[in-house]
Amino acid sequence: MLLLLLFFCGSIVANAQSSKTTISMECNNESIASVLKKVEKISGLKILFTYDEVQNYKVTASIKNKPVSSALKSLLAGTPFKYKIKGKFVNVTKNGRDSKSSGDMRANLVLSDNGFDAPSPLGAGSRIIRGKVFDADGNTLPGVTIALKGTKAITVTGSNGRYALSIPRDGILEFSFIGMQTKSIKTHGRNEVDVALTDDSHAIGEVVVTGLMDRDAKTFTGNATVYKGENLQAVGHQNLIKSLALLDPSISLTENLEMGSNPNTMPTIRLRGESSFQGFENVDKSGLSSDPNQPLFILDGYETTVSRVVDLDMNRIESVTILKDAAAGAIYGARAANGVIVIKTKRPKEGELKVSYNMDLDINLPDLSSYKLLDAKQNMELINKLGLYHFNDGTLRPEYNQIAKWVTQGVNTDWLSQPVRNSVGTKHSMNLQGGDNRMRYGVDLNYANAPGVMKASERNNYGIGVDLSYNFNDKVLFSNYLNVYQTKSTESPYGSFADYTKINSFYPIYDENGKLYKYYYYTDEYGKENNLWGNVNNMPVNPLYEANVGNKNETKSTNINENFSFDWRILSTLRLNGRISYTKSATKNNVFLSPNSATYKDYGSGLSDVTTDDQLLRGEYTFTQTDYESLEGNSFLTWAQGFKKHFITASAGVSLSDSKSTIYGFTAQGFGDGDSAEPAYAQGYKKGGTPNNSEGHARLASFFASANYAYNNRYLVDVSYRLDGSSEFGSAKKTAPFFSTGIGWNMHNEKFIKDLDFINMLKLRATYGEVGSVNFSPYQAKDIYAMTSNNRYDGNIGVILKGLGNEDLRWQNTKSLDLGINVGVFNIIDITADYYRKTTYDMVLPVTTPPSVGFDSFTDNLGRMRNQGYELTLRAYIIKKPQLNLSIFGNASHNENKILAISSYLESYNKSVDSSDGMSENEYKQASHKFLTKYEENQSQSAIYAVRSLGIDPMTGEEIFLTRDGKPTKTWSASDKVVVGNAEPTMRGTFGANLGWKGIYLNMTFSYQYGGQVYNQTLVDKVENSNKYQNVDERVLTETWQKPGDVVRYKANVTDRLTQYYTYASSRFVQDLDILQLSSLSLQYELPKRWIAPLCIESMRLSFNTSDLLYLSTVKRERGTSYPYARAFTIGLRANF
Amino acid sequence: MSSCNDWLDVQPTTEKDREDLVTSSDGYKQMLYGTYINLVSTDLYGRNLSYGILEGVARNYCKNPVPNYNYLDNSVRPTVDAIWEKMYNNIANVNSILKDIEEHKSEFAKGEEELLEGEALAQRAYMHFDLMRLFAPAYKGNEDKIAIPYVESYERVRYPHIAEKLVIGKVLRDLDRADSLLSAGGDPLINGAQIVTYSGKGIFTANRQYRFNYWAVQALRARVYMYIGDTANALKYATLTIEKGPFLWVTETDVSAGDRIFMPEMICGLDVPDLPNYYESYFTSESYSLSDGWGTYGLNVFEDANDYRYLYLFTNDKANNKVISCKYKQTIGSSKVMKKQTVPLIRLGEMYLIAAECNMEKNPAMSISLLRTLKLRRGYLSEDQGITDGSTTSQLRDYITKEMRKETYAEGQMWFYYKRLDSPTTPDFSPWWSGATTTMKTSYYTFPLPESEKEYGNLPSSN
Repeated sequence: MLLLLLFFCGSIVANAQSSKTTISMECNNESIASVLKKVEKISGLKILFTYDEVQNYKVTASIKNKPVSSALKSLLAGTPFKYKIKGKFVNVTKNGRDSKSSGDMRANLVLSDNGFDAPSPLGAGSRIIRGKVFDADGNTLPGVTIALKGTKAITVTGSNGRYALSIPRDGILEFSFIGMQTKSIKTHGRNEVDVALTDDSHAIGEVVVTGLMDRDAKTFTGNATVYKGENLQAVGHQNLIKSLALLDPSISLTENLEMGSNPNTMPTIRLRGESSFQGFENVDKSGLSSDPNQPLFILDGYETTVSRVVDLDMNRIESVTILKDAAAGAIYGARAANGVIVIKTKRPKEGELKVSYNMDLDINLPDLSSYKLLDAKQNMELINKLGLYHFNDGTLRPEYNQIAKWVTQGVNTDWLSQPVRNSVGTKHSMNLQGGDNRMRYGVDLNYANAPGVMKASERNNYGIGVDLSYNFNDKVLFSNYLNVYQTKSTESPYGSFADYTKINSFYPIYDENGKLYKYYYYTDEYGKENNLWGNVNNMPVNPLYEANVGNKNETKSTNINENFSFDWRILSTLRLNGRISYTKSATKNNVFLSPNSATYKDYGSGLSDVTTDDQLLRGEYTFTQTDYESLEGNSFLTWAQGFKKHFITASAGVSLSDSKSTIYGFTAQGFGDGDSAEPAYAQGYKKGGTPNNSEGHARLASFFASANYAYNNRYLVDVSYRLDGSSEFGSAKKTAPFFSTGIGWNMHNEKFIKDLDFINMLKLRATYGEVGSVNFSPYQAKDIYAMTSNNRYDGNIGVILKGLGNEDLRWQNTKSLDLGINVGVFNIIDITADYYRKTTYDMVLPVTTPPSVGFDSFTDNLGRMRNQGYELTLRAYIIKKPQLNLSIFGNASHNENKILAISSYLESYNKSVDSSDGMSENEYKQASHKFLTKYEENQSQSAIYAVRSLGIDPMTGEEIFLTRDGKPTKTWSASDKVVVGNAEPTMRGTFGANLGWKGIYLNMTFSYQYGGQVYNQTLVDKVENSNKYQNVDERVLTETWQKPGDVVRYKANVTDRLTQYYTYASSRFVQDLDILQLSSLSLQYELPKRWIAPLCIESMRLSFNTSDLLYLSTVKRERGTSYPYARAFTIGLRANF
Repeated sequence: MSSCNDWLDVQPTTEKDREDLVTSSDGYKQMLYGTYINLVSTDLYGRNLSYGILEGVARNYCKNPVPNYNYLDNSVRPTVDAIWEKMYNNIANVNSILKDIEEHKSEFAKGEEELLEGEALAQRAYMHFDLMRLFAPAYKGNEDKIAIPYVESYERVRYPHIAEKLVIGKVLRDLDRADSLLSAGGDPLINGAQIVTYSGKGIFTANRQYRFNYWAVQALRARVYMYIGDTANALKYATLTIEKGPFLWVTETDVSAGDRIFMPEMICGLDVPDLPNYYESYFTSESYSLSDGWGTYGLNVFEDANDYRYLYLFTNDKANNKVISCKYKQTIGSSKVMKKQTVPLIRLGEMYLIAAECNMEKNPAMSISLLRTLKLRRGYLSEDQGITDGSTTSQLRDYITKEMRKETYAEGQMWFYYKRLDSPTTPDFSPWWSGATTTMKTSYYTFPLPESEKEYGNLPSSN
């Protein structure tokens, strides 16, 4: 290829303006180009020549005080060149060619391209600038766009990374490349500018990785947000999902008040609200998610689970793309309704063997600050006040004496601190990579050990991955990644943290002999041990005793994933990609309940109801194995072509997947005292139990096509279509079509915006389309029979219909509209704003049938729900200096859920929430005290229903309610329930700052939410409904009604020995929930090269990160009831060798 | 495109797709066995429709499980609803067999398809008939009252609730079809040629008494006609069963050896493998006992201490201080014919009682003779078996009522008998006040429809 057309030599000679100037010079076998440059410099003339023509010629000459013309003559003697002087310009051309026409023609070409409007074809100061572009690792980069700012001069680097560009004047050269940070360099008269570009990790991503293909963000109309691995790590090292939730306003993690920071509890993740009713769908067993509202996770092209994503080594993440709207998601068709999160891992890079090592030290401290419980003295005070251990005649019960004895002995056990610990976990990961242009390899190893703050709870991961890629002829690239990993999770034998919050602090842990108490009792006058509560079934058990009997709950899972892909560049405009991935995992869960467990009641003589038989059958071992296997493949063809100002990309492809899961399990019972927790020691299978086995199998076949058209990088249009066939659909309709369209306008490329210097980005987007979700069990569309293995008729196995199949069952269809704008101003502030409206039609819900049909319901497509809201992201680069940079960011999102239509089944569910049908009075009371979700049309799915309350009557201590019509009443009635709040916050998001100074980087991220309400179940359970024989919240003592005249928030609600009083769902417990949380604070330090170079270390980074350091909330409630929350600190080290 | 559809058609392995089952006779047989497994659940004939709630409301135990016959009580409602739900669920299972069995006739060995289809039809008739007897008022005078839906196909269709007359018409129609199919299929029991084996595993024509056989159809016809007051037809089918059927009287030797079901007399019954467990858990409780305290309670009903039905079928549960029926305490292998844990559905004695009742007015001598035959076979020693010569109709009625109670004790038929006669009282077993009775109202004889049926069912709006 003739790379270079013309070469201009710049001139800065001040004293010589005439061709009459004489020159003197010596040159010995010097290249003509360099000699000519010298001449130019001395003479002050501008010499125009063709670099390619002259490069092979050398001259040797000695010139003394000769005019330019004769000097040139002698210099060019013996070469095939001639010269022509024209004013200030000299043309050097080859003999035998019409120098004028050739020179002018070429010059004109360049000029017209560059838009010079000087009368002279060679405008003043114009010249050619050359150079080479590299990436951070020193590899040359082809395809980099180089432009001189403010002009139309533009070119791209060739396959060797070289470029040359005619520029009319000095100015700022901008080097831009997809996925790299754009670099601006002032020319300052230089002719050669070599540049190293660095990966773009801070700006919004410029490549949209859809999982099937990479798209240029500039011409993409869909709503997709890209985060680089470094961004994710900057806000925390814990796991990908936590970091994503801090970065993106559309993602929310549901606060798990029960499971707190249990490392083995997977987060509940939502992208733009919920589109299914929770709990009314029959979840697909063979699917990867049991949560119908969870987004789809795509890891390197194949579907994966939330636990895989949580366990993923964050150092391996190259980028994460969140596809939020229909345009982005339509390529995933029937699975995309909840959004798609596409994760791309790092591929090995060309070069010598490189080793990188990461280590994280995680320190977790339990956060018990939400608990305000009574100490032994306060507890005693409460007992006295309520007279819990008094006989009717006022005398004290014998139990009281035992408790009083403990209190006087000074027993005040801090139960909360017993099952928890400060834990230190480590993560190590190592990566080796290298290779040449043909063959590249990479090996990654990782180990992570995450002990939880409950003693002995733990999650361990280790894995190895091998990455190989082969480049055949620069035409076909084959890649293969094989990954094997294992996860082991152990639940704490200390049981539920709740047990430690309920046990009274006046109970000692050990008895006089230093032995653990099993249960608490008092000894009566006959020397017999008696229950402290006088009720056999409620004997207080020492939770620490239970922790030490040898209970076990362990899950081990082994996973193999093989991913093969190829990328064939058939033509420069045509590519064929393909991928096959295979995943196999086996998860084994062992649960052992020791024969010594306090679950088995054993009260000694007199109180015992234990028979010998029961004794023998104590101890239980439950084994469950889940096997999952899936094979996915896809192949697609992409064509991209530009014609002048038109640019078209089109692709089409097919994908197939087959996934199967099988569950096996059994329970064995009957263990001896010292027996191991192995089934071999069991006496037999559980009495009356049978081994269980179930299976799910689903297949998906899809065809899809998409096209993108961009005119002059200004007007953009996207269309895509997908046809999904799923084995889960009813037999009547096996395929589902999905489509999306999008339009975009890059206003910043319009002249009238370009003229406004302060705007560097202004893009408008709009997309509309349909995506689906199939969240029903594969067999709801069929008439399925269950085998009656443990029931036979006359010796024969039979089959019984499981349900009424619906062969017309379809996927849920979500119609999604997204309007967005991206703005960048002053090169400092980036703003993204989006509005969305997602309406889900054909929701899969049960339909009530009269039982005479044979079943009480079947599954059909009914119900509609709408989510709409907006998202706002702002980032400002306040200081941008090489040694100091500061940026601040903030985001906000608002989502509004509305149920538009429900099914008859939900109507009857709503009725059952409020009615006492089929319930005993006590059951009804229990049910009513819990706040139960209802689903009413035109209300939000997260609406809170309760009876409005006027508070506690100071005279009687009774609660006064408002009826539906607003009349005060003392009687609570379910029919008076109205919507009193909404658990969905008005606004939520994050904000924070990044500071970089001489290799030190500081990141601070706060999360906030406000405007939502919460039904404070802690207050209900721990204050009013609490069992006062147990430990309770201190508000029982300070804020409950005790005597007439008390103006307090909580009614006098005393539990007597055998009866539990219940507080019904009341607006008194609905509180505004505003939260401010310092979710992440991290500090990184890049060690100076001069320190580490002697250690053969290329780069080294230290980091410190804390999560959830600060938590401020307007609602006082217990957080982490079964498992406490933790404050985490991480110290990290990253080194490249 | 069709191969793609095939690929998308995934077959479960731990469960079975109906489309698969219907491709073989084995599949159909499994579907049929499944319907029997449904029938023996405790919600249906494994308990509540035999010795469970139905016997309780017939006042055959010392405690009425339905206080004041208020079936809407929270403690009773779930049991009543479950009967309806489970019955119709099983009807759906039966209808799923009948849906397209004729198209798959070629899959079957000769005669098997007819037997299977006939059995399924007879079962469907049996269940609908019982549903009507439970959930609709007594037939007499209520022929045009809207009763229950007669569900004839397996599909997502709400069948209308129809008049009792129409239900009976469909019951009889199904029985007619069952009759001809079972004949065409050559039911071995027609001529008494039986394969009797401990386990009928894999032998489709074995143990016909445990299935809806040809004679079950005839006996059920007698029961249905009796219920609607068509004595001519009731007598016809009762006589046919008595005379042409292969059923023999039980001997004292068999009964004393433990045949508490009177196996040679069983026209149709169910194999309930879990019966020993049920017996242990239910009959030891107060609800299923004759009396609180043990002794000779019950003799005031059974009259003669030598009656096998008293002598061998009641026991003093000393541990729990109760008198209980031990009809369901069955010892396998204690008799040549006693092969299974059995709950009977129809027995020969009832046919004699139906025949006696049909002859009560027109041919009292015949009625007396039939009653005497029955009582003789139950071990009565006196010459006239306590049946006076020249008994009046009302005396005969009294004898029949008494014998019905003795004969079907703990089998769930007595309440239907009282209901058919709109009996104003139900008697108690209590020995303390002889003849203690509960005054009955017509509404006491009708179970309420489940709320969900009332709300979502296809009932005429004017009902």
